[in-house]
Amino acid sequence: MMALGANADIVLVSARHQLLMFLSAWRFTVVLGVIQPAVFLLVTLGAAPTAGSAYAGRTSVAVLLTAFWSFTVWTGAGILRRERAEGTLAATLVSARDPRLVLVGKSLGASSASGVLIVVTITAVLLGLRQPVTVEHPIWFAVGLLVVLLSGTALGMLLSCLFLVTRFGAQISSALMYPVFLLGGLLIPLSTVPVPLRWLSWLVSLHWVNEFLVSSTSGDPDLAALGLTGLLTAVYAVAGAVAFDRVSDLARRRGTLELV
Amino acid sequence: MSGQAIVVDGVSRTFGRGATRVIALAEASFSVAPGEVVALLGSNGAGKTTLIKVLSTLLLPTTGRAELCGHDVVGDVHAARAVTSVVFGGDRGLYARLSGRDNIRFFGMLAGVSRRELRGRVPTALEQVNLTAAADRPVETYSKGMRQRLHLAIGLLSRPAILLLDEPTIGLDPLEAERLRGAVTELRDHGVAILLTSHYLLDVERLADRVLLLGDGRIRRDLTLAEFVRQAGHAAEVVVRGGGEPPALDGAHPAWVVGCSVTKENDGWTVTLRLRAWSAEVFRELGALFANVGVHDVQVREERLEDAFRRLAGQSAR
Repeated sequence: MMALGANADIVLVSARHQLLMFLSAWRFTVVLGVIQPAVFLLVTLGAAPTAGSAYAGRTSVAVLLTAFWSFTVWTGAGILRRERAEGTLAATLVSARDPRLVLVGKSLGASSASGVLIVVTITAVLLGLRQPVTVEHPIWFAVGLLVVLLSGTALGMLLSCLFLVTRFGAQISSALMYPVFLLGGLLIPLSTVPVPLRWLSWLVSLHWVNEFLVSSTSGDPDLAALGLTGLLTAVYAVAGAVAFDRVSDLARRRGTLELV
Repeated sequence: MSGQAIVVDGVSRTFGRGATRVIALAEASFSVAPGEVVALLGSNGAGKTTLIKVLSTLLLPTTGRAELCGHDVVGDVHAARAVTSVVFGGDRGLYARLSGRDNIRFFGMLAGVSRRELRGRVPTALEQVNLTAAADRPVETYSKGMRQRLHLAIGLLSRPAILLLDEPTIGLDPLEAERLRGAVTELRDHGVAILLTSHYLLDVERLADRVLLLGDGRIRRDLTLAEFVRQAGHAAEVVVRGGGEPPALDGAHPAWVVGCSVTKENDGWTVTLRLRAWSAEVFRELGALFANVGVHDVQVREERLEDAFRRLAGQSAR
């Protein structure tokens, strides 16, 4: 029980540190968390001014997930690289507690900050435009948002480990972004993706959570989509934990983690 | 279980392959008992940091075995980490945007200190390194010396069985360095086994019970502090200047003289004696040796650890 509390403390302090980092790099945060979703939403809603609240709901969910994914890739994925650059990664790795807790906390901090900022921005834009959006199942919608947060956290952990072993993190970030948007059905309907590639969308949690969130704004919540999102999130999290072990073992073999 | 806190047995570490292969550490073997302070000395590239990295579990040894309180640093890595605290030092390795208190709490938690224990220990550790007044400021506002002190406070917090200190007093002013040495001595008195590297030989002189001299990745000497100074050749150097005829020192020297040179100049002479020991008896005999010549000036320079290190490092390199 005490260990559980101590682990939670480590996660929370790590998350708080990530939030402080966002605040200190506020220009970057504003571009990704405010300007990006606001522009996306203004353009997409402006393209169909007479569309109803269902269209606005679908569009808002797509903008939320698009902005969230790009924020996650640009920030969460670089967590371990920054830890190494600041010299705190080695100190974390040699500690008695599981060093993965720090990664979980920081990824959670990044996801929470970006998620809250993007949701607030989208809400503000909708209010500013006086665009009504109906959410028929607000509780399920909130559950969906929570799952988005956890999924982003797990993805951030996984990407963070992968980016630690390559110098081309920024390039890979860019290369990953649009395929995920397309396969998630966020930019274009999935029906327009070539059939031989369509199965790849099953592996993208954003695709399933998009389905779920849209279904909970209008119609019956697609609980199967929610379950699949949860399953994929768990897979990402396990893959992230395994990747962390592999990366740290590799660094110990190669001696690539500097002491200071 | 040998009763030793640190056991290093034939540990080697190489980097690269073929023509680019570098031996950073070769067949290192030694042990450190609980309550013992051992200093690693050596020039840059001698293998000190590689050894600390292996023991702190940041680097896998290529061959050999190392145990911390009986826990293998490769096979039982989590248990080995649980009994060890590592002070890396330097400007980095801290969360710059968090306060000093938050940093110490955070790394304390990672070291396995419970919340209840942290409440009592954090103020004590901050007091030990004289950071209480600055504890709630962000670390990015700290000077280099303050950051170094914070590193030390973190290292002292978890009260480990083994403490690995890499350049602990770098960046500290003399008063802060002395305060730190006091804290390390206290830990030693409580049975903590301490392995330290330092370029400041004063740290070694004040803290170490034993000295391991490394060169080219090998342990060249494993000596007590007294042995270390003695093996360097002498304890003091005496330079005597005078006029007229120099003393007759060309024949057999007294046993306490390990080296002698006489230089004649136009209006006098200079005798340089390297003495094995520097005591009242030696002082008396020295007076007798120069009783019948005209002495103008005498200079005595006690051998410092730094001189001993330079000499032994030079011998190791050859």
